[in-house]
Amino acid sequence: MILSSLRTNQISDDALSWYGKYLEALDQRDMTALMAMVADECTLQINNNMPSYGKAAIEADTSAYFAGFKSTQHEPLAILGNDQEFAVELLLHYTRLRGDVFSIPCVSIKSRNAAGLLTSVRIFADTSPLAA
Amino acid sequence: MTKRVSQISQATADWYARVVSAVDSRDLDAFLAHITDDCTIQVNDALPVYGKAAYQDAMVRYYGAFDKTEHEILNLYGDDEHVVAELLCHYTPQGASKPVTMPAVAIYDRNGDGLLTSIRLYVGGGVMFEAFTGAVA
Repeated sequence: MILSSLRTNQISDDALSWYGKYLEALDQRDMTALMAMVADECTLQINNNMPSYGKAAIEADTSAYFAGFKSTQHEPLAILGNDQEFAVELLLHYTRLRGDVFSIPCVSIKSRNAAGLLTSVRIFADTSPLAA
Repeated sequence: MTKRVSQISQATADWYARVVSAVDSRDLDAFLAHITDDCTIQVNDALPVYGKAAYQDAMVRYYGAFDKTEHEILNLYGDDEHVVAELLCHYTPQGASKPVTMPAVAIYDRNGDGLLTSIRLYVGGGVMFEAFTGAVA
């Protein structure tokens, strides 16, 4: 996780701290920590793909995603919105299993419930480099 | 039904509706009046299009690729200077009988005069925006 490039942030310090932990969990592949931040009824959708519904499906899809790359590093550039509904513009840096590195820009829109758990994650990006 | 989000002022929401209307009605002059001379537009990780003249050329190519475009605004995040629009883009390719629909996000930066200085589009299936993904001399 790289936080030094964050140039615009509209969420509170608490929410930013929470989001930092979320990115850390993703980049360290800590599935337990990650799933603890997700509501049971959460949905995850990438572009116009069929969404993943519910924690079990998200965990399965995230495991498959982790298996496809050696590592990832998230670099947020802007966080726009409020603590419950916010959009993150970021660079995603991937290290492929064969060792080469590439980056894609993307936007992730997040909704959180009153307990601060994620209820919706929608990701928008050109994902074609991931398949190369 | 999914809750809709609008975090920007009504004035900015109205402004954005006018921008989208100009794009969908193919009123290029009306659209270009909303951008600065040095505005940039970037689609995913393609090279950005720099400046109003290049942007105008790209818009002409964009319109040439589709019989019709319709942008459906789902949610608006941010504030009046930094606007994030979550959209459904309903695009009917030239000669096609029905539209293709893609979800997308557009992020807009505006200056003190309310003009657009930067537009960044994030979408899978970037073929819909090929007009903006080549460097223009």
